[in-house]
This record gives sequence, C-alpha cells and structure tokens, in this order.
Amino acid sequence: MTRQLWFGVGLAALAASAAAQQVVIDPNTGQLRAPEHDETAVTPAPAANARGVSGASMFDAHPAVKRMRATTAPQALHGASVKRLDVSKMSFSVAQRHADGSLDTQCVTGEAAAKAALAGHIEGGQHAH
Amino acid sequence: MRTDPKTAILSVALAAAAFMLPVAQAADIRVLNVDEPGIGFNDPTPQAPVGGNAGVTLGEQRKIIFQFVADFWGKKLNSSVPIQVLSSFAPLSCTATSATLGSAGAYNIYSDFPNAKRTGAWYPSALATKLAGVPLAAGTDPMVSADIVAFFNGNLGAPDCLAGTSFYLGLDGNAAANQIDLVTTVLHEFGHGLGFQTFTDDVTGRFVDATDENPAGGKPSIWDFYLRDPAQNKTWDRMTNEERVRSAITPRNLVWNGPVVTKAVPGVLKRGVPELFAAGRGLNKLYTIGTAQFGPAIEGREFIVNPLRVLVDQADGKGLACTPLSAANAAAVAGKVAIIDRGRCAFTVKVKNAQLAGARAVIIADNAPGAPAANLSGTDSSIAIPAVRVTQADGAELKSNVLAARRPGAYGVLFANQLKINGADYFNRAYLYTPDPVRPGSSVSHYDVSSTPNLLMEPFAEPEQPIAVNAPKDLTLELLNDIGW
Repeated sequence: MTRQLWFGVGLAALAASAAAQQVVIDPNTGQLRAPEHDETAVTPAPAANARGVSGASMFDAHPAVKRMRATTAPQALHGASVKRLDVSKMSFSVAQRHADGSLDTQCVTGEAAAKAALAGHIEGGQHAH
Repeated sequence: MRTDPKTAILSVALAAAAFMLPVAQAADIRVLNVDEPGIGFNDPTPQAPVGGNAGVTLGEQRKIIFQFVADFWGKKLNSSVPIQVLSSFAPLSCTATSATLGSAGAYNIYSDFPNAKRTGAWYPSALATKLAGVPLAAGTDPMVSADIVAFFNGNLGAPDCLAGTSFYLGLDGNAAANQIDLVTTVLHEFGHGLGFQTFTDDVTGRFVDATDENPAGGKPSIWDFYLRDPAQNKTWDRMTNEERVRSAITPRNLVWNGPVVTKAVPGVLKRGVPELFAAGRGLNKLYTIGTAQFGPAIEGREFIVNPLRVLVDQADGKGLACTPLSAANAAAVAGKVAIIDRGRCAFTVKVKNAQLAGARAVIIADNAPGAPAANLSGTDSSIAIPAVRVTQADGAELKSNVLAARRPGAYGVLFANQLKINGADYFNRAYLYTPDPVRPGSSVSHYDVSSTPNLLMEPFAEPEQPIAVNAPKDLTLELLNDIGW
C-alpha cells in the first residue's frame, strides 16, 4: 500500500458520466482528461447498489445505532453537564483505491466528510515525506 | 501507647484523601459487543489463526483485535472507573472502490465535573470520569452511558465494498499490500475516542454546543486550550469563530502547546526539515517545500547551491519538460536548479528530462492552489538529482523574480534545516494538520503530515505503522497526558 498524492475534483456529475473511466479535470483547460501519474482520478460516482453512500445516513439501518438513538443523553451526576454526540459526528476512517491500484486511507470527522471521501470529492493526502 | 494528636490528624487526613482521590491504576477498557447474532463480532465464518490471533471464526478474530487494542491502551492509561466502548462490526457505507473502514469517537462529553482541571470545558467521557474518579452518568445502561463508540465495517472486501481488500486480523502488523491493518486502525480510532480530538467545528469555528441563535456561544473542548496559533498569538479557546476558521487553514502554524508532547518531540521526530532558500533579487526567502518519493533525499548537512533557471518550453510560457529538452533549454538548465511547471506528464518524466539536460535539481511549481506544497509521487530508480515542489503561489513568485533577474541572478539553496524538527516548530511544538483548503474533520484533530517518522494520529494511515502510542515511536499518549490522562 503506497500513499498517493491525489488531486481531488468535486464534479460528481462529470464523474458519473465518465462511468468507470478514470478522469481528472485539467487545471489549465478545465477539460476532462485521463489522469497523469501524479494525479488521482475522479472516482466514479457510487454505483446504484453501493451501500448507503448517498442519501440517508449509513447508520439509519445500523441495528446498534437504532438502539442508541432510542436513548437520550445520560443524566449527569455530581453537578456535571453532559452532551451526547451522535455517531454521525464521530471520526471516520475511509479507504479508497486509486486508478493505479494503490490504497489511501484517511481519517475525517463526521459522516458528511466520510461520504465525500468515499465519493472522492475531497482532496487528500498531501503527505510531505 | 499514646498517639500524638498531630500524627492522628494527619493519618485521618491521609486516609480520607486516599478514599476521595482516584487511585492510580491501569484503565479497564471494556469492549461491549452490540452486534446482532450471526453478524459482525458474532460472524461464525471459520478462519485460520493468523499473526498471533488465535480466533477460529471471523467474529472471534475481530473481538480478539478489539480486546488487544483495549488492553494495549488500558496498560498505558490510568483510571479507577471502567471505560465502556460500544463496539460493532456491522456493515458501513462502501462503493466498489472505497469504503468506510470504521467510525469512532467519544459518545458523551462532560464539563464542570469534580476534579476537572478546567471549568467551562468539554471533556470526553472516558477522561472526565477518570478525573472525577466516579461515574458521571446516572444508570447502568451502556447504550446511555458508554464512553466511546467504535464501529467498524464488517463488509470490507465484498464485491461492492472495496473488493479485493480486507482487514488484516493478525496482531503482528504484517498486513499484505491489499490489506488494511486492523490493529493500527483501531488504535487510531480509540485514540480519538479517548480524547485526541476537538469537539469544536473546524469548518465553522463554532464550539460544539453553540446554537444558530447564539453561534458565538458554547464551551471550548479541553483540546482547544492547547491549540496555540503563533500567527494570531492566541489559543483556540480565546478565539472568535472567524479566528478559528482562519487558524484551521494556515498550514504549518497551529501547534500543540502541551508540555508533555513538547518535551518528547526531539526524541521522536527527526531533525532536519528540507527547505528551499531563494537568494538574490528581491527574494532572500525560505520556502516550504514538498519532497519527492524518488531521487536522493535532502538531508544531513549537505547543501545544494546553484543558480535558479526557469524552463520555458511551451508557447504560453510554461515549462513542462514532458519531452527531452531542446539544446537551448538544456544549455540553460545545465548545472542549475530548474523550475518546471506541474502538468501533463509524470513528475518522474519531468525530473528525468531535466537530469538528462544536466540540471542539478528541480523545483516543480504547482498548477493548482493549495498549501502546504504536497510531495512528489512516483518511482524511478535512475533519477539521481533531488526534486521538490512549491505551491502555485510560491512558484509564480519564484518564476517572476528569477525571470527578471540579471547576472548574477537568483540562487536556489536546497538544504535540511537542522534548526527544525519534521512536524514541529522552532520551539519543538508539534504541528497540527491545517491544510488550505480545510479538510473537514481531518484538520486540527490530527498531527501534521510533515511529522517524520509517521505518527499514529496523522490523518492518513501509513503501511508499516508501528503498534505504538508513545515515545520514542509515537506522541499520542503524550498528548493525552497533556489533556489530563
């Protein structure tokens, strides 16, 4: 597994139209083209049967989360204040395979950021070594 | 025997103190399996033992990994109150080429509890109860009062879930190229749950309990008191929302100002930060650079000092070096540090063409905005000159000054700055990850990616990450110590 620099482009519609083809947006021309070695392709939009990437929360059908969401924050003792954080606000570790077969994994916070990462819509690993 | 009244009072006081204060002991981290029968941790699929994991079903091996990580963390931390982790391996979101590996974090957060080191600050539940020495939630239902949530993806590797990839379920870190090491991934996510995170929003700058009616209200996270922005000369707890937003997108600036981490940094991170100093003309300036995965490293005490030259091989004035350089261009860059534009072909192609023309080093000027400068990916064992990348803005500045220069012109000095440590500032304070543009959720709650060697709590996982959380291999535990662990 190698860490790849990637050049994220947030054009879901173009990516969807490109089907399985791997494409990037040329920063000079604005046109779609095949990725350079130093660029990661726009990941095709999630397939129709992908597991919960678009639309509803990935946790809506999660049995444990259903039980958790049926409860409220605990009653705090000893004069403390308490706040419940929803699972959708937590840290997510997301993996993505690039056009050259390499894998990137990154950690983001919040389900929205995780879904963006799953769809390849955020820029990624600017690792400097 | 008569007892001295003073001694008696002292004995009583000590006994009382012993009763009231939390007793230092290893933390008991309990993995609570919340999966339904037959799935996740209860998956009965037979498995051969692997890498020290003796489980014989998929579910067993997953449970063994979680407990291994829980025990690993437990031995590093002290708490008299058990830490409860709601744990699941049920399916999470995927596509054929990407997958949510896992999700974790604090489940409940508390403020203003007994023994809190700071009032008016949100603490993760596990740390709050450790400091209080008693449970802070009424009742015993873990679905209500648990400290941490850790959900991982039981479908990884299925045809519609990053097919061909799987979690490595061994305990020895020997993941294959198509595997993701579950131990280090769970170690990382437990780290967040234990407190390696701010609850403050890194995009809006709002505190976690701010409201639309009072967006500037709410309380900071304990984390925010240790986030120091030297440029603004403030810590995050004292900033406005707008100031926090600005701080979150100022690269290589925001530092962790905790004494335990700062003391440990020199023993963990490598000294000598590769930098570019441009001398001459109006420059005389240090530039942050990205380094290359190919060619010789810029390290030690070796300096590369050569005139800077801007390559131009395109009609629009750009220099791409995607084809062998013309005789005139080769003569221009021979013995020089060539400035070449990013685009159209691989970095290795550009650098190889410059090398064949006799260049001593290459600076790639980015063609898209963003900071700090990313590194240069690629593999070519025949490349023997160093290459670096600068941001689009820095590249434009360099090119305009170099092109305007007359003899003797501007010089480029590539060197490893021995006054600085990779991943820390001049005062050994570790950088937090603050790229521009912001990476929602990744920014601020991770160490910076310039940390060398790699740290567990960087935002991007690395293969061969050691199973370690503290010095001399890591700095996660030191940061948790700073916030009160």
